[in-house]
Order: sequence, then structure tokens, then C-alpha cells
Amino acid sequence: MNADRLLRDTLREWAEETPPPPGPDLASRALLRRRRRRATSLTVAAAAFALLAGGVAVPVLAQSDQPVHSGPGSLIDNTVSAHPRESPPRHLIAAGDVAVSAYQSDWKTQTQDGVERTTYTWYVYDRGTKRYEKTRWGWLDVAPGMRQAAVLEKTLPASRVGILDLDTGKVTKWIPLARKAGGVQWSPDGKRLVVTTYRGYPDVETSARDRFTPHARTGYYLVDVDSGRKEYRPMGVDTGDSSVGAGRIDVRWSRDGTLLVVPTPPGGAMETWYDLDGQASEKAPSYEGSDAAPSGLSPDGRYYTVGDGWTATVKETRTHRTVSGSSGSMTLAWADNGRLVRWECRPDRGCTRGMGERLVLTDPAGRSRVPLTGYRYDDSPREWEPLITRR
Amino acid sequence: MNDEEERRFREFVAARSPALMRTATLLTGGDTHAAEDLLQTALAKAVGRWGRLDNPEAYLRRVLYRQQVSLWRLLSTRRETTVAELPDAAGREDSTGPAELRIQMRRALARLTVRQRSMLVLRYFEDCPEREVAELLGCSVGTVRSTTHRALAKLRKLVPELDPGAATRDHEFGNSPSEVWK
Repeated sequence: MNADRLLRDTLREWAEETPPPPGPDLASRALLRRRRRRATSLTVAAAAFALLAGGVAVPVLAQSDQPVHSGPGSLIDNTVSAHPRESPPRHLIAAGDVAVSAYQSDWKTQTQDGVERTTYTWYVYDRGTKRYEKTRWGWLDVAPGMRQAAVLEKTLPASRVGILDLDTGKVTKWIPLARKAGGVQWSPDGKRLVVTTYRGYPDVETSARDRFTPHARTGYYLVDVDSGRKEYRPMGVDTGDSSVGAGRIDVRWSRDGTLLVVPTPPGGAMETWYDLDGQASEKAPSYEGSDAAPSGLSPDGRYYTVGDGWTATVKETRTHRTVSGSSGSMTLAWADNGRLVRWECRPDRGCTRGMGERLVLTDPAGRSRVPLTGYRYDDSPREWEPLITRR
Repeated sequence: MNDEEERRFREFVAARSPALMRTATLLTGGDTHAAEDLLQTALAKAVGRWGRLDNPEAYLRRVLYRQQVSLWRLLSTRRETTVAELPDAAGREDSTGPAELRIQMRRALARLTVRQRSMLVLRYFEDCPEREVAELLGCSVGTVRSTTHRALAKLRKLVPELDPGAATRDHEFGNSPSEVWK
């Protein structure tokens, strides 16, 4: 029997054998539970009011072991700029060596002929207005240093990549591409680009393989920004049973800039690593994989992070021991040797990526936590995804 | 909730709870007590916003999946759900017959992590596209793909009959990027 069929049949058969729930009881118990919960909340609120009315000082639960200022919009010290009520942020979010240089928002998904097509709007931090400003670009990446960005025009895939001066807002150079591009990423040293090419619009999803193929990845360019010199390497995408679905599968740099990772290459592997000459390379360290935590190795190499795409943990490089208290939401970047930017879930409820979480600055053990942004979704209906860049 | 809303809520639960219970049971790997708890928690959440829900069933399904994954996070040390007692196969002599294979598959599904199982239920039982799975579970499409990939690789390891060549290969299931579902 076909394995795919077997899995579907097993799940369906199992579901059909499920005994029915105790119908009337289930509704009554849910109603009762809700009423009890409401009564508890009202009691707590009444108690708080009584304390305030009586002039009793109530200590606020500390978010941090150390005193930090986290007002409505604040420059906490010379290295941290936080706006804990803004989601998505309007003013600069930065900590230590890194900043939210841009973010994606305003998802729009349309379905046509069984293909879902999603478009995004990019907002980039503008030093002039000191705010994140909406852009017209289809895709972009901000260079380390936050002085320039590589941009692709709105109608993806694009036939050229632009180098945008973030001080003037002008494109200083266009690099033409014979194969059309859907994604771009700066090398960690800010000298090169990896530009991923696609047959059609990359941000699609479909369950029909024949409809996915016209959008699939075709390869990538390695571009030297100063000279404009570029080299193209064909690199399609696996179209086996395990990989049909979403279009965008960009090639990206390893953190040290010596390797390129190609996710889901033909043949069924999850990812393959190549050196800059295009030769297949040995597997990179575990913190570099496609599904690893984006933060990776700390600047001084003392710590590294491991993740599973959902959660992350900090480990000591020398001993590989887990730092106590470090397990939690995804870690995004090292602000410096001792501080991380990571997502943090609102403590009183379950939250998931994109809902009920905010950016915080924390030490590896999670003892000190400085909120950097407001909670996603909860403070605003607009979903957003940050791009974090060395500044 | 006024009397009319309560009446509609009770009607909804009577009509739709069997289907929701089936999903909850799959999510909990066959643990019907845990499934009932899960469903009841989701229903209690729905009560709080009953008058404002355009599509109560879609809301409840989203809560079921998210609640289950959140629960997994809270109990992160208990990564595998209690394996429910499953009926023995009738025809032991044909150990790779369809009925036996499905029973082996159930055992294997029950041994996946909550998150892995949730992905497979969404993809193979609910037929949700990857982007919808990502939205429901609050993760990226890339994570949906990699988690599904690992879940399928683990199933294949647990049910070797799915892959006749498996016995001769050196598995590193759950972590190996070269494991594919074919």
C-alpha cells in the first residue's frame, strides 16, 4: 500500500472509531467552567480595587531581576531603543549590535486556479524620519551597518537587483539579471549578495505539483556588489513527495559567510551546503541548519543556540551544557556577548508564533528581560515579521 | 451569554462535538480522556466569545490545535503522549497486511511528539495546505515542512514495512536531513 494512502486511511479509521463525547454534559461543563473562571476574575479584580481603595501599596511583579526603564517609548540606555507599546514598531527597535532594520507586514493572500499567492509590504527604518516607512519593494535585505539595502522590484520575480542607499532613499546601482530573482540576502561582510532565482512568483502555495512547478526555484546568483560581477548556479528544488507546497525556498549564507545553504535541493535532502566556489561542503555546525535558531553562535563564541523552529535553548560552547533557564521562545540574534534578542510569550496564556509574543532583550539564562516591542496581534491586528541586522 | 446564545451553544455542541472529538482524539494520540479535556477547554474558551464568533467550528479547531501545542510547551519534558491501548491485529500470520500496518501506524503516531502529530493530522486528515498549517499552529511554512519531514521519517523508522530498503540502511531518524517520505 502506498505510504501516503496508509497514513490517511489510518487517521480516518482511527477518527471513526472515536467514542462520542458525553454530549449534553460537555456543553454544561464548558458553561460551568466559564462561569467559574469569570467569578474568579471578578474576585481578583475586586480584591485589587479594595487594596487600592485602602491605599495599600502593591508591589508590581518584576519582569526583571534588575531595574530597567521600559516606558511607552524609550531609549533605555545608549545601546537599547525599545518601544514596548508598539506592534508593529513605528520607532527604532535596537539593542547592542543589532536592530530591527525592517519588517514585513500587511500579508495579502489571493487564490487563483488552486494556487495561493501571498504578497507582503516591507517597512524599512528611515534615519531621516526616525520611523519605519512603508516601501514599494517586492523583497529586500538590509546590509550589515544599515547604510544600504538590496531591493527587488514589486513584480516578482524581478529582472534586476538594486542597491538602495538608506540615507538618501535612492537606488545607487542596478545589477541586471538574466534569470529572474525572488529573494536576496547580503553576505555577513556586506560585500556580496546571494540572489535566489525563480521561474515565477515565489510566494505561492499549492497542493497540485503541476501548478507549483511554474513558480519553483531555478538557482542562485553570487554577486560581488562593488564590481557587479556575478556567477549563476542552477539549483532547482526537490519535487518529490516530501516537498510539494510553498514556493519560496531562498538560498542563504552561513553566519561566517564561508558557505551557502540550499534548502530542499533535488534528491530529497532537507538542505545541502556549498562553498563559495560551488563545491558541495561537509555539513555545517548544528546551529547553522535551516531549522536552527537564527541567533547561532554568540560574538565571542562562548554560547550557541539550538532550536527546532519553534523554541530555542542556549548552550555553552565548551561544555555543550544547556544554560539553566534559557529554554523558551525563539532566539533571533545576539545583541552582544551576553545578551540576546528573542521572542517572549505573554506569561498568562499559551501563545504561538505571530500571536501573543513580543521581542525582548535577555541574558542567556533569561533572568533579565527588557521588553523591546509590544505583543504581536494583541496590541495590533497587524501581523509583522522583523528583519534583524547588525548595525 | 444570554439564554438564546446558550441554547445555540448547546445545539452546536450536540451537533459538532463528535467531529471535534475525533480531531481531539487524533491530536492526543488516541488518549480519549485527554481529548475530552482538550475539547472542553476549547469549548470553555468559545463560550467567552460565543456572540462574536462568525465561524465557531473554525475557531474551535484553531483553539484545539493551538491549545494542544501550547500544552506541549508547558509540559515540554513530557514530549510523548501516553500511548493508548490499541487492539491487537486479528491476523498475526500476515504481519504486513493492511490491518496490521494501520495498527502499527497508530502505535507509531502515538509515539510522535504532539507537534509532529498535529502537523500530520492537519496535513493528512484535515488536508490543510502548508500555509494554513503554519497559520493554525503559529509557525513558519519552513517549520511545517521540516517538522512534517521529521515526523514522516520517524514513522518510517517505527514502521519499517513502509520502506523495504530501510532495514539495510543506517537510520538517524528524527534528525537526518536525508530522510524522505517516499
